[in-house]
Amino acid sequence: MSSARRTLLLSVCVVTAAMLLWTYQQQPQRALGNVLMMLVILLGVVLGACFFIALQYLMKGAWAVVLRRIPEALTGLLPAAAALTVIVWLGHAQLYHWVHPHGDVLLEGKQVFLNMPFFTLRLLIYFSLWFLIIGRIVKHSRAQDEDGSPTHTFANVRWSAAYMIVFALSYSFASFDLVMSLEPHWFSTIFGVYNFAGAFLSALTVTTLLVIYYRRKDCFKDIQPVHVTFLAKLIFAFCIFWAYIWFSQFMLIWYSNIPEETVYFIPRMQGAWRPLFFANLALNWLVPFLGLLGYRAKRNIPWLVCVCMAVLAGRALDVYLMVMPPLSHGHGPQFGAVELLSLASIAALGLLFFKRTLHKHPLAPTHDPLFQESAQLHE
Amino acid sequence: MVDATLQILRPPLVEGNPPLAQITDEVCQPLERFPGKAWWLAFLTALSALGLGTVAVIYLIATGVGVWGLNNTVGWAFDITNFVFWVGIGHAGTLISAILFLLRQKWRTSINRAAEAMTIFAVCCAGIFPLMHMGRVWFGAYWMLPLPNALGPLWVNFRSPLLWDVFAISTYLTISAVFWFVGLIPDMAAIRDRAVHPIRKAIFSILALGWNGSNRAWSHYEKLYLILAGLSTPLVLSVHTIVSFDFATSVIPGWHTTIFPPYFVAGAIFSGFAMVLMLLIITRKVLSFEKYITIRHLEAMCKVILVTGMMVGLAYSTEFFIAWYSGNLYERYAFINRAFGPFAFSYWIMVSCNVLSPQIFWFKRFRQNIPVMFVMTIFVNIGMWFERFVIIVTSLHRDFLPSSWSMYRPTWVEFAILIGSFGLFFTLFLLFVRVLPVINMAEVKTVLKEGKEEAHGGGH
Repeated sequence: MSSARRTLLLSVCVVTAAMLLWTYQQQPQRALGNVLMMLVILLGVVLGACFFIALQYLMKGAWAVVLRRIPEALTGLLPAAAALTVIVWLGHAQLYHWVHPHGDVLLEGKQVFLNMPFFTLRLLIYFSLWFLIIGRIVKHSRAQDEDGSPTHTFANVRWSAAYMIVFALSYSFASFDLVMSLEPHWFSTIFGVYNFAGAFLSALTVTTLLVIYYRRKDCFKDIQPVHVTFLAKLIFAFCIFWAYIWFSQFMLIWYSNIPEETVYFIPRMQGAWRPLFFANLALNWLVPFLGLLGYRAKRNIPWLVCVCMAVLAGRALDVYLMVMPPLSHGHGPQFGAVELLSLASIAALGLLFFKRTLHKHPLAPTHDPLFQESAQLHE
Repeated sequence: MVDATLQILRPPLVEGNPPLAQITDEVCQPLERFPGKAWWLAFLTALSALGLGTVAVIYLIATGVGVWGLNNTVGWAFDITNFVFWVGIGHAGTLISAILFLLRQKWRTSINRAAEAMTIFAVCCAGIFPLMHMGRVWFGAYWMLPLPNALGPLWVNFRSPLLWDVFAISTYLTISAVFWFVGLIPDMAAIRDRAVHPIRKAIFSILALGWNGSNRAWSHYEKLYLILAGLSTPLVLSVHTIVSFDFATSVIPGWHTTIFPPYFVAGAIFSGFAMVLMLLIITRKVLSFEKYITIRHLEAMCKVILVTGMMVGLAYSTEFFIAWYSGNLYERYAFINRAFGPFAFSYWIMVSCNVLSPQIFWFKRFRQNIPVMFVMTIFVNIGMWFERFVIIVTSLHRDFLPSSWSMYRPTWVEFAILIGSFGLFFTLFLLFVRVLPVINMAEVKTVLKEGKEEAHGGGH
C-alpha cells in the first residue's frame, strides 16, 4: 500500500478517535455505543470470514480455494476487534446498566451471570479461543505454500470442526453478552442465530467486494467471473436466511404479544425509529433478494457492487438498531459526524489490518490439493 | 503427493466403475423379478402393523377421541407428537433432493430417489394424526379448507398456525411429489424400453410422458429440475417453521420461544437423515447396491447427523439458559419440570439419544461401521420422537394453575395408531422398491469416471 494511502487511512482513525473522545465528554453513552457498533460489525466480518473458510474445509469444497487468501486476510482484523473490546470493557459502567442492579429484582436475580468478573472472564475466553483457532487455520494454510504438504489440509479440516463448535457457542454467548445485555430485562433465544445471520452475510459481502477489486490484479489471476457469481449466489441465499431469522424473531414476539418481549420492538417501531426499522428489512433482504434474483444480475459486476454496498449499509443499520435505542433514552435516532466517522473508520481500520495481513504471504494457495479444481471452475 | 490427497478428497462416487448398461441392468433387476422371501416377510409385517393401526383408527372414529389418554390439561400428546415426528422425517428427502443439488453435492445422486420417496410417504403418515385429532373426520374438509358451507358459522381460522400448517404441508407434498415424479421420468423411460410384458410397457409408456432421450428433452428436463430444486429449497425451511409456530405462537412456557423455527428445522433434518440412513442400510444390503450406495455415502450422512445433532444440542442449551436468564418463574419451572419432573425420563432419553450418542460419529471408525450406524439411526429416531413428546406433554401437563395439573398416560389405541403409521410407511416403501428404481440411474451415470474424463477431454 502506498504510504499516502496509509496516512489517509490512519488519519481517518485518528480523527475518529478524537471525535469519539470529544463526544464522550458530552454524551458518553453515544460515544461508547459507537465503539460497540464498530466492534460488533468488525467482529462479525472476522468470525464470518473464518466461518466461510472452515465451511470450505469441512465440506471439501474446492471452488473458493483460489480466493481463500482474502477471507484469510480478513481474519487478520481480529486484533482490531480485540482493541475495540477493551474500550467497550472500559466503558461498561455507562453501557450496561446491569452493572448497577440495585433495587431491580430481576437484575439482582441475574447477577450470577451478569457480573463484571464473569463478564470479563467470558470475553477473555472467547477471544483466546478465537485467536488460537483462527491462528492455527491461517498458519496451516500458509505453511502449505512453503512445503506443499497435504497434511495441512487435513489438519485444517480438524481445526475447522473445532472452530464450528467454538464459534457456535461463543458467538451466541458473545451476542448475549455484548448486545442483548444492553437491555438486560429482555431475552430472545434466537438472538445468537440472528447475529450470526447478519455477521455471515456481511463477511460474504466484504469478501465479494474485495474479490471484485483484487481479481484485476495479476496476483489473483486465477479468480474468474464465475467465482464472483458463486459468491453472489451465496449472498442471495444468506440474505434470505437473514430475513428468515429476522422474521422468526419478530413474528413470534409480535404474535404472542407478551409485554416482557415486545419491550424490545416497541421503541424501535415508534417515532423516528420506525422508518429505520423498515429500512433494515429493505436493505438486508428486499434489495439483495430482488437485486440478485435474476440470472444476469449475479454476473453484472457494477450492479453486484451496488447491491453489496446496500447490504453493508443494511448491516450497519441492523447493528445500529440493536445497539443505539437503549442508549438513547427515549431520544430519536441520532446520526451525526461521530456515527459517520465511526463507520468510515471501520473501513479504514479494516483496510489497514487487511492489507498488512494480505501482503505478507503468497496470494494464491497454489499448493492446496484442490487449487487446480478451483481454478478450473465452470458454471 | 497431491494425487494421493485427491484420491482421499475426491473418491469415486460409484465403486468399480461399472459400464452404463450394467447400471441399468442392476438397478432395474429388482423390478423385473418376483420378490424373494425376505421382501414378503417384511411386507407382511408392515401390512400387519398397518392393519392394527387401521383397526385402532376405526375404533377411534366409531367411539370418539375419548379413547385416547388426553384430558383437559393435556389436550395434545401422542397424536401431535407423531404428526411432528413424521413431518420432520420427510425433511431429509427435500434437503438431499433440493439443497444438496443446488450446492452441487454429487454424492446425493445415489440416494436422492429413495430419500424423496421417503419424504412423500412420511408426509402421508403425518397427515393421519391431525385428521384423527379433529374428531369428526368427515367434516375434515370444512375444518381445514376455506369452503363456503351451509353448516352454520363454520369457517377456518386464518389466524391459526394450524391452518397455515394445512397450506404449508399440502404445498410441500405437492412440490415433493412433482419433483420426485419429474426426476423419475428418464428412468421410467428406461424401464419402458426394457419392458417385455405389454401391460408393463403400457403403464411405463404413460408414466414416461413420451420421453425420447433427445437433447431437447434433456435440456427441458434439466431446466425444470433446477426450478423445482429452487422451489423446494424454501420448503425445507418453511414447513417445519410453520410446524414450530403451532407451539411458539402461543404463550405457554416451554412452547413460546423465538429459536423454535430454526431449531425445528435442524431437528427435522437430523431425524430425517437418520431415517434415510436406516432405510438405505437395509436397501443396499437386500438389493446388493453396495457399489452405488457406498460406505462413503453412509459416512457423509453420519456427518450430517453429527452436525444437526449438535445444532439441536445448542438449541436445547440455549433454551435452558434463556429460561433461567429470563427471570420468569413460569419459564424456569417449565424447564426444571422437564429435566426433573415426572416426565424426566423422556427428557433424558431425548438428550442422550440426540446430543450425546451421535458424538461417536466424530470417529471415522464408527462412521464406517454399519452395525453402529444402524443402532444410532434407531437411537436418533427414538430421541427425536421423545423430543416432540417432551416439548408437547411436559409443557402442558403442569400449566400456570397447580389445581389443573395432571398426568398423561397413553392408551393402547394411541400406541396402535403409532405402530400403524410405521406400518403404512414401510408398506409404501416396500412397494416402492418393487415398482420403481431405487437409484436414479440417469443421474448416477453422470457421476461416473467415464463421464468426467470425457468432459475434461472435450472441455480443456
